[in-house]
Amino acid sequence: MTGIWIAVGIAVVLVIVIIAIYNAIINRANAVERAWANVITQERQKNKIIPHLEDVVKDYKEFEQGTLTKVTELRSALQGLDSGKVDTAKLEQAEAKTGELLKSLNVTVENYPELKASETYQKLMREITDQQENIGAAIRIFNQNVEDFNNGIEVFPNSLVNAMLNRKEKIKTFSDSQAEEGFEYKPNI
Amino acid sequence: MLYYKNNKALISLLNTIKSKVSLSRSREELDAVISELKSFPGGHQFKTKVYWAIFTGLLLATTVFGYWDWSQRQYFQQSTWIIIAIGGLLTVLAGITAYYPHHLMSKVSHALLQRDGLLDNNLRSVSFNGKATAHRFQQRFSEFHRGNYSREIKELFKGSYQGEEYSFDYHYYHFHYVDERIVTETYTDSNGRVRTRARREYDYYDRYGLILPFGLLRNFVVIGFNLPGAGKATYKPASNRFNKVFKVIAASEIEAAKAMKPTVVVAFEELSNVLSKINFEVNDEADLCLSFADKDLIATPKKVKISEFDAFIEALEGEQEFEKLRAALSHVHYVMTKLDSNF
Repeated sequence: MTGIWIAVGIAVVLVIVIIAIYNAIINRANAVERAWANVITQERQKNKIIPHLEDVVKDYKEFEQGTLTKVTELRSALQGLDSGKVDTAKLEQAEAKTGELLKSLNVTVENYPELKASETYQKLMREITDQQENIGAAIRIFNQNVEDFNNGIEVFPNSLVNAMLNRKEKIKTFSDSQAEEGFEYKPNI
Repeated sequence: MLYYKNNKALISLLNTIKSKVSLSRSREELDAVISELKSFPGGHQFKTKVYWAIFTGLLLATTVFGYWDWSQRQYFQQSTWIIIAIGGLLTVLAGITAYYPHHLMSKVSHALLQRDGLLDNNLRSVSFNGKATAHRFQQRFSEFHRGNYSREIKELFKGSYQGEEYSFDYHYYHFHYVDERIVTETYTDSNGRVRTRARREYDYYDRYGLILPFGLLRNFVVIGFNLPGAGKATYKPASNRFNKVFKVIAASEIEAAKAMKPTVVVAFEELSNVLSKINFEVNDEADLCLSFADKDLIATPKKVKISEFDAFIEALEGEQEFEKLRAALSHVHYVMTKLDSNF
């Protein structure tokens, strides 16, 4: 009789452990999704900045030609982002288009000293820098959560529970040195 | 006549410096003390080999004599006890005589470097009443609602920070508080009956922090260590790492989400690698109290002593940087710039 109770006890503990691991994997997957949505929200903030950018450069015809093409490309890349589905390739594309636009802006503005010195342009550039920093930080948070999730499905016995019940796959972290450079706060000593 | 001439003069100099350092409030006053140290005509090292030799000799002689006497009779006579007591007393005296100069040297060296470090980092001591100041802080911040027995501010310094975008004055404090608890214990009395009795026990704690005008938020708290009276979190950022250490309480979820931008969240994660048990509390007057458990924010990082004279003077003449203090202040400045960037 005691043996049966011991077996029942072990089975109950095992079920509790499996439920705890199952739920932890779900929680980590949700945290990755939330962090991803956060990255996309930050990326889409660029849509608010773009009209201001167009306003600023509209009086500079030559400037407008090159910049507008880059703006259109960036807009299209931003539209391709889906906050519900983790797709680091599309994020990489949007970041690359942002990089190209900023590079083009920096090169072309050299020909327009009064534009470069104007308060509106300076303010806009500060806003873009701040936005890029937030994107860099959001990506860092996303990568940390992905690392937690991947560890959570790969370590034993989580790997067994995942293979039998959750069936989640490892997620790739986002790697873009340009985006990471955007976030420069490093107070570690 | 206990010490050699140079030792005696050096002890006298160190005692003078000790009292002058504790009274010095400005760079000029400290420089005058350093000049006095530099102009000392004798050597800056104690010669204590003889005292250590006497101490060792007395210790050995007393031990050997005691052992020899015991091996003769297996007990100590009264006269032996007297000799051992006198031997022991002389050994202790010799030990203190040999140890005291080095202890004084360490103490004064540390005091000088500490004062120099405070001045290098623009920190000035503030005169204050410990209990009254704790009470005043308690009325302003939940952080000071600790200690059911006593609360006291032990140290208070005023400093100023010059950032790229913001400059602000701040106070650095050391808060000491005591919790009293009643412990019930059982014991057996002289009649063999088991009884219980209550005993008061005291737990002593210390917290440290910075208080400054913040201005960009009101009633906003990021809690990394139990904050008395704090309710449930109003907002959880997306970061697992942040949520493991902190919880955010604000007037509304929208206000919290607006403040906790990704850059601010990551800045807090980074700060938790530098400081422990952090609370970031902005009160209804928009003043910030950044509190933590680390006691080494304003501790001199230099370990050199006056006896290594050239290295010691070099350490005093160089700039000392309180790195943890800098990290805490740059965090505050960074958060200010991020919260203020609403274009």
